[in-house]
Formats: sequence, C-alpha cells, structure tokens
Amino acid sequence: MASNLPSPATKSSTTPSQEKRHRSIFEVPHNFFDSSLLLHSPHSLLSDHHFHDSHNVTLQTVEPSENDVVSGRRWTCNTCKAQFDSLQDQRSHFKSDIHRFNVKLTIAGKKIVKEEDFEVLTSELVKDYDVSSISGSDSDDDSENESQNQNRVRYKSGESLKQKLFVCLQTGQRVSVWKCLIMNMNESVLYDNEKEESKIVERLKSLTVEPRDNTRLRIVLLASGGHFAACVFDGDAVVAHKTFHRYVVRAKAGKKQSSKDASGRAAHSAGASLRRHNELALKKEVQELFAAWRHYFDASNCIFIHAPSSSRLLLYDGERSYFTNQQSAIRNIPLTVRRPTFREAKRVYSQLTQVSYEADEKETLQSNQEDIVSIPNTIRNSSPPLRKGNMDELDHKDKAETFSIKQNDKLPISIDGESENELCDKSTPLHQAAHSDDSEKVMELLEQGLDPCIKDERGRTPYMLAHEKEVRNAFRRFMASNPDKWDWHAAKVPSALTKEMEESQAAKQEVQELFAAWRHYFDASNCIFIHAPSSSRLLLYDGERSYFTNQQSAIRNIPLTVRRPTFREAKRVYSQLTQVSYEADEKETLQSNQEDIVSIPNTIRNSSPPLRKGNMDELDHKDKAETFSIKQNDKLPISIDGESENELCDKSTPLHQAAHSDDSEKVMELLEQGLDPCIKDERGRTPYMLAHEKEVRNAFRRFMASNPDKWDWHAAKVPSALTKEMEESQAAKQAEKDAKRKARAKELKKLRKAKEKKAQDKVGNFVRKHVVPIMGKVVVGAAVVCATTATALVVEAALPKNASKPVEKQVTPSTSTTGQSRPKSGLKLSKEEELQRVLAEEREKRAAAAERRIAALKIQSSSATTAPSISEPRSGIANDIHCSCCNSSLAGKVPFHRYNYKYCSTSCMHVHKEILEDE
Amino acid sequence: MATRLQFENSCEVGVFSKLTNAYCLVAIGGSENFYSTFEAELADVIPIVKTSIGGTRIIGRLCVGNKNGLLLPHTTTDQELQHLRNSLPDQVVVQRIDERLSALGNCIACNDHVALTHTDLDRETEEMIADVLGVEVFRQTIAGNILVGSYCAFSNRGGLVHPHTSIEDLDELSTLLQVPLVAGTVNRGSEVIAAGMTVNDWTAFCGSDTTATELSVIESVFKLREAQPSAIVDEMRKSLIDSYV
Repeated sequence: MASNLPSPATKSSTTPSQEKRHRSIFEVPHNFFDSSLLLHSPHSLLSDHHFHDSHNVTLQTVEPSENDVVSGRRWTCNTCKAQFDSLQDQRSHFKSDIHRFNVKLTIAGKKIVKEEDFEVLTSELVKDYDVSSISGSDSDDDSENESQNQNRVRYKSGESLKQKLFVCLQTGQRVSVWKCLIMNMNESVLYDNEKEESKIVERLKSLTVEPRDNTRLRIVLLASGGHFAACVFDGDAVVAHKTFHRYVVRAKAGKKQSSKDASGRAAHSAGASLRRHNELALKKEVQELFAAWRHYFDASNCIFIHAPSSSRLLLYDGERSYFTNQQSAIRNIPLTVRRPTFREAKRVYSQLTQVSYEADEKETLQSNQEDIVSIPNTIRNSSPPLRKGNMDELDHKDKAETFSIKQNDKLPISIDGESENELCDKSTPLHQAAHSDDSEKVMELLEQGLDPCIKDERGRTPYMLAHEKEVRNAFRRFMASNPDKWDWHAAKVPSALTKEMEESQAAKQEVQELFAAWRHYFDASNCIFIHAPSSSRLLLYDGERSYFTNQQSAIRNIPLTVRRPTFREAKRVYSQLTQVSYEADEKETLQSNQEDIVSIPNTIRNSSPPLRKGNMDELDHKDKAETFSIKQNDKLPISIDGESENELCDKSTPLHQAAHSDDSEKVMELLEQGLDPCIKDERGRTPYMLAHEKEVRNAFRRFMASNPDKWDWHAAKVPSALTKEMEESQAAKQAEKDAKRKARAKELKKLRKAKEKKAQDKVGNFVRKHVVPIMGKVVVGAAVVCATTATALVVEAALPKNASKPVEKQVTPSTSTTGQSRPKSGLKLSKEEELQRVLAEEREKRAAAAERRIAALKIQSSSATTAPSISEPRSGIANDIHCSCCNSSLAGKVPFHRYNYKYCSTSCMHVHKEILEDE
Repeated sequence: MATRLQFENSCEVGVFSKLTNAYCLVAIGGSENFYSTFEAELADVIPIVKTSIGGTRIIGRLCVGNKNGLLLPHTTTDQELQHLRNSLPDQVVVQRIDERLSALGNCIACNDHVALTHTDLDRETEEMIADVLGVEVFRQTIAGNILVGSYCAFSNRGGLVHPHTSIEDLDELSTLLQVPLVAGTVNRGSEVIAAGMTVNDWTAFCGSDTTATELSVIESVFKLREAQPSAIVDEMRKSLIDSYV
C-alpha cells in the first residue's frame, strides 16, 4: 500500500475519483461551473457516474488493504488508518498527539479522529497555541470524546440543506455550495425557471473568475460573549484579521452584564462594573477597528456576520451597521459558529467557500447500509441517506418536487408511506421528528442547532407538530437550557421547562397516582383534612376541582400550625384535631368564646368558624363545657405569629409558649380555660419551669391557690399556692419594711448632718484659736488646711487627754505639707477639700478605734491582777463600745460585726453600710 | 541460548528478574538455584544485582531499563536506589521517576533504541524515558492491550508479541521498531510474554513451563542460537584467519 499510495500532486489530477476532495470555490478551475445545472436537491437528478462518498476524505485515508502485505516495510498506522511515505513520518506520527488520542479512543471502543478534525478539536479546547483569543470564560473541555462527537454532529447538521445550492457539473458530478456565498437571505431560488437558474450558475462562475487584487474582499465578522473576531479575505488568502476579547460574560451565571442589567436588578459588585466597562470598551475597540478597516469594507463585496442576540449591538446601532456597507452584501453565517477566534473565522470562511461534492444516489444507498456499521448513531440520524420511495418518484417524474430534506432512516412513520405532503414541503428534520413524536430525536436535533422557529408551508413550527407531551417537553427543556439561542416566542414554545418544574410535576404526578390508588379510601372517607398552603395547593387542586374524589366527604382545612408533612406530623395533627380537651368552665368558655371573635387572627378565622360553631351548639346542648382544643390554639397569637422558638414547638402546649413568652395574663387565661399545666414538653419541662419571670410563676401559683385540686400541682412543679391573704400579707410586710428603711435612712441623714455641723463649728473655733496663730502666713481661705485640721480637731475633741499628743503630731505634718503645697486655684482647692474631708473622717474613725484600744489596755493593766480571765477584757471592751451607726451603747449586747464596725442590730449595719457606700 | 527456570515454583521469571545488555536484576530472597542459573549464564559478562523495588520482589514489572539506564518507580526506597546505583556500572543511569503508573515494566517495553509505552504515561515520563534510556518513544498498543510492557518482549535483535497481534500490526510494529517480530507465547501458552521471560541480545530466561516449541520460536526470533557473546568473536576470528592466511 505504501508503495502505490498516490501523492498529493497526483491526487488532484483529472480522474473523477480523485477529484472528489472538497475545495474552495476560489481554487476550482475557471471552467468548473461551465454548462452546469442547478439542482433542487443533491439527488434530484440521476447520473450514471459513481462517486465515492466524499465525507471527510483526506489524504490520510486508508483504503482497505488486503492485497498488499509487504512485510517489514509497512509505514502505516493501523490505529489511525494512516499511511506514511517514510519511516520518519511513521515514527513522528507514532509520537504525535493525534496518534495517542486515537489509541485511547480505540481502546475505549470509539471511532478514531481524523487529523483535520483533531485540529479543530484541539482548537476548540483551550490550548496555549491558540493565540488569537483565549479566555477562561467558557472553556468547553468536558470529555474529549464527547466534544468530538458533538463536533461531527454539528458539522453535519450545520449543512442544513436548505441553505445550500446544488449544482450538477458537466462531468455529471454534483457539488454544493452555500447559498449565502452568492445570494442574499431574502433571495430564493426559483428552480423551474431556467433563466433564474442560469443566473445563479453565472454568479457561481463569476466567483471563480474573480480577480484577486484586493477589490473583491470578503469579510467575516464573528461576535459573541465578549469575543470578537474579524477577518478579511481575498479569495482564500487572509488579508487582515483582528480579534478582541473582553470579560463581559458573568462567570457561571452566564449572560452578559448588560443583559443581566436589562432584566431589572442591576448588581453593584466590582465584577459587574468591570464587565460593564469591558462591554463598552469592547464596543469601542470594535468601532475603532471598523473605522481603521474602512478601506477593506469599501472594497468588500460580501460581509459574513455571526452575532447572535445581544452581540449584535457590537456591530449594529439599531438598523444601521457601524461599518460602511454600501456595495457589500451582509449575510448571516448559516453554520454553527464556535467561540470567535481567528482560527474559527478561517474555519467558517473555508466552510462557506467550500465546493463540496455530493454523494450519488446509488452510492448513498450503499453507504446507507455501510452507515449502519460504520457511523455512530448520532451521526447516522442526521446524515443524508435518501428515502427510497421518494427517489423512485423522482425517477419517474421529469420535474421532481423539491425535496430539500432527506428523509432519514430513523423515521419509520414517514417511510411507511403515510407520506403526508405537509411534511415533505419545506419541513425540516425537526418538523419530522416532532411529528413522529420522537422526543430523543427532537432533543438531538435541537442540540445540533436546528432552528425550531422555521415554519413549514402551513406556518407551523415543529413545536406545533408535536402530538405528544414528551416531545413538547423536549422543546421546553431545550428552551430552559438555551433561553437565548432562538426566538422561542416565534417557535411557539410557550414556556421553558426547567429541572425544578419537572421535579414538581413529577411530585404532582406521584401525588395524583397516589390519589388514584387510594380512590377507595377517598370514597369511603367522610372528612378530609387538608393543609396545603399557597402553591402546594396545586398539588391537590386543579383550579377549584380537587384531584381526589370527594363527593360525600367534606374537605376541611386544618386550623393548626402544621410542620413539615411527615407521617408523624399527620398523626399529631389528627390526634390534635380529634382531641377532646377539657375546658375550665362553661361560663368562662362562653366568655372566652366571645373573646375569640375578637382575638382570632384573620387567617384562621376564615376557615375555622363553621367547625367551631357546630361544636359549640352541641356543647351547649350537652351542658358540658367541652370544647375542642382547636379553639385554644386559635387564641394563641404566639403560635400563630410563630414568635416562639422552634425548640418549643415540638410537643409544647400553648401554656408552654405563654409561659416562655412571660405573658402572665395569657398564662392565667389559659389556665382558666383549663389547659393542663402538668403537660411536659419534649424536654420534660412543665410550663411553670419555662417561666422566666416571677410574675408568671405567681400566675401559676395564684391559679394553684384558687384551684388547689384541679391539677396535680406537684407534677406541674408549682411549688406552693399563692393565696390572696399571702399576697396581702407579703405586700404589707414589704410596705412595712420599706417604711422602716426610709425612716432609718432619714434619721441617719439627720445625724450625719448634725455631726458635720458640729465638726464645722469646732473647726471654726480651732482655726480661730490655734491654726491661725501657728501659721500666721496661711491665708484663711485655704480651706484644705481648715478641713484637715478641723477633722483632726474633732478627733482631738473626742480623745481623752492622754491620747491627744499623737493626734497633734498627725496634724502638724499635714498642716505643714498643705502649707508647702500652697493652693493655686479655688476650684482645685474645693475638690481637694472634699477628698481631704473623706480622708479625715476615716482618720477620725481610726483614731476612735485607737482610743478604744488604749482604753482597753489601760483597763486590762489595771484589772490584770484582780481578774486575769480571758473573757473579761472582751466584756470590758464591749461595755465601752458604741454602735457605729446609731452610737447607742453596746454594753451588755453581743455586737454585730462588719469589718471594724460593731452594730447594735443588723438594721443598723445595713443602714451604715449604705451610708458608707453613699460616701 | 534460552534457559528455563523457576522462581520459587513460579514460572513467571520475567516478574522476578530484569535482564538487559548491561546488567541483570534479580529479586532478593529467591532460592539460590534461581541466582545460580543467572550466574551460570551471565557471570563475568554483566553484573547480577539482587535487589527489591519498593520492598517488593516483582522487580521485573516495576522497573524498566536497557544498557543505557534504569528507570525505577516512585515506590523505590532511597536505600534500594542507592544500592542499585552502587551495584550497576557507572555508565548506566539510574533514575527514579515520579509517574502515576508505578509498574513501569508493564507500561513500557524497550530495547536499546526504541520503546513502546502506555498511552497514559505523563509527557514528562516520556521525556525521561527518552533521555535516560536513550530511546525513541512510541505510544502504541499490542493487540489492543494497553500494557505494552506486559504483552511484548523485544531485544535489539528480535521480539515476541502477544499471540493475538494481527499480521498488519505485526508488520507495522516491526517496521516501527526496526526489529523482526513474531507473535507467540511462553510458559505453555501464556500470552503475558514479558512476565514469562526476560531477554537480552544474547540470552533469554523463560519460565520452566515453556515448551520446546515456544523455546525454539524464542531462540529463533531473538537470534539466540548464534548469539553467544563469543559468537561475534568467533565470526571475527574466521574472517581474521581468512585474511591472515
């Protein structure tokens, strides 16, 4: 094989089998389109020539090779189905990435990739060497294999046959070119008109003879998601190119910032402002580029544009484009365009300008069978095998009807010759798939990028053709995942179907199935209690009608707070509903009933009254003060408002909640209504234990006092009853205490004042008598001196004469120091005066203590000989000692000690303590 | 010549030994019989080193080497590495590589010039193989098996590959590796070639289960009959004597 492998040069020679390679329209010889005929579809005209299927034929394709077994010289790669000219080539291939990739694919049991596809593939994955425009904004490197498959699928589906022109060459070969290469979008081909056809062929011819002197430029403009690529081509040559990328698409969330802002709430994050700025910057850059490329645009005769949705704003200001386009035709690119890069622009352009050979009918039929073996399912579906029936018809008719769409073999319905004409004309594969109710196929086609907005000749979109819900759901699902890809409104797809919606629907479905299965239960029921707030109601009701049968049974709302619906909760609710709880008293109940009317919150009032009334009537007749516990709950603002903590909710009664919220009135009320204070919550706490405040606890105790036998108060953990008398007596006691205390405080104040007065007088005298003569220079206004000396004097006055000396000693230094640090200002002086006074008072007390000690010693020494007992001195001291507060003698009393002080009574101690604290 | 032997009643001698043109590694702790067989064949020609790799005795499957170097998996301990460096000739580069696939012997098959490797090996490992072993590295499979090191064994003179290898693949491989290849088995039909035998340019050791037919195929494809180290000298002598006379 290696020896007879044709070289690339020989391959482009004239033999038809070797000319089957796709090539650019600018490469073909000038007489290529001579005397060629325009075809309606690639297979509408028969010819005797047999061509090989031309898909993906490359130089490296290996034909089946049974005949040549050259041992030792086999420059091939069996994995990649490739042949090489030399050992060098072979070896370098075995080191290459594509070989490695193919080996992996083969091992995984997948089809190998051709070299060209591999290049596309690697360019699709973000690679370092793709220099034109790289960003991490949307890297699509899922599984390599998957992307590869998609790749091929897209490639095929992109060739939407309607967008192509098919030409039969003079040699009988059929080729196709993209319509947009020579025609505007709004131009349609009138096939039966020979003039028109020849015109189009003329146009094709003119393309081949175009001069390559930069006067017939073609420009490709790609813009999407912050990427922009522009490329100017002259024939096949790139004249100029430019790419921009800006960060404009919100990471993960998708969409551009501007479209997000347009949706209402504008984000104020740093990223948002960054993206907004980038959008503006990108637009500016693009416009600058257009300005700079003005001459290119002037010289261009065709501009290919791909700018989906909001990216269009980059190129257009309303209807007017930013680039000048007087002569040039602006055409949309009918291919799937990936991220705009220079490479992608080149790819798109080469695809657009490609003259591709179409497979012959027989060949196709053959390849059809081969397909079954060779082409993976996904591709097989979209590959263009012909419908046999149609072909026969075409054979017979001179003028074939336009079959732009080839039926594919997966659609048994239409193959079976139901052959609805409506399907055939102008309908896309998507229409057919939708019509045949093949939801998988629909999804597949949508993913391949088929336009769901296309209408068939009756103006129906594929969505409208779908009979089954599953198929419609396929559309809606795709809409959910690609909300901006198509104009879904035009496609008549009503709304997206997100995962969540599906889940909720599934839940609904399950519920309905349950209802169906439980039909006999529902039939036998006489009452159905329902709790389905807000949207959950839709689970049970379809508008006004409920999904379950409820002829006989009454449907009632549950007036309780219902927590998460579980079996346990259902049981709890039911037990609550069916509970007969004891009420306090008939009259009270009636009273509270009336109160109810006022206090019940609206939400529940609406639903509960009928039930309650009925009950009440019964109760009235029975003369038993029974009501349903429902009512009690009705009255609980707490439980309704949901203020209480969740921990409380479980198994806690309203009483618990009232106690916990420290609402003593409520507690009382509830107790009066007959709620059991012995009930424990799930933590084993009774309502009493939950009460934080004394008043609440007292409420319990008061109730206990009035109803000592109603409950087991011990179980309720209420310690003792609180009767009115007790309360009164307590109040009286308290009042007495308070009065006493006040009186004492008054007395003490008086005493102190008197003392102070006395002291002041004495100071005055002292200053007059002693201090002034001693320190003649001291100004009389020096109050510090006065204060200190005054206090000293008080001490002196209290001291017996033998103790006066040390005190005087104390005084003199203080006077001398004050004398040295002479007061500088009156303000400071007054403060110091205060301080000094406090000090002095302390000193006075200490002095008094010292005096007492001395006195005690004296007595001891005198009576040591007569009575050397230990207890005597104490009593001796005690005899002399006075209460530190009221100064009454402590003789014959056991004094109360606090610090150094002794008191006659505890009340004295308290009063003195307060006085000390006040000071 | 090909020798049949056992390692502790196991015929998978390729697992417990590694033979190259410059050295031979044998697993430590085997019976003396095992060593003596190697010593009888190789003594005075190449060093025979008793070692473990990563504390295991399956050294043949864990390491890969040729006359230029020896690659060890990351599980190799420092002591083992040091021991091997000390024991092997200086011109043999001993390198421990950080490769996820630690059974290098199963993933890589090589002679002194070319290597076939597992497709999942790191690029760095590939470079390391090329540098240390001085070989061209090809990523390939043997009869659809990704463990090329297990299913083929080749020296500079020939190679034995998995019995299911197609003729086209065989041709392709032999072109690629530039050595004649034969599809065959060892150890009475075992297709795990490299586990059942270890081979260099002039001798081979096979499991004791290897049949005479298998042995003869091995000897012929690896050209072992005339490939004693002295054979070259003998041939030279002939020519020398010719010229002398």
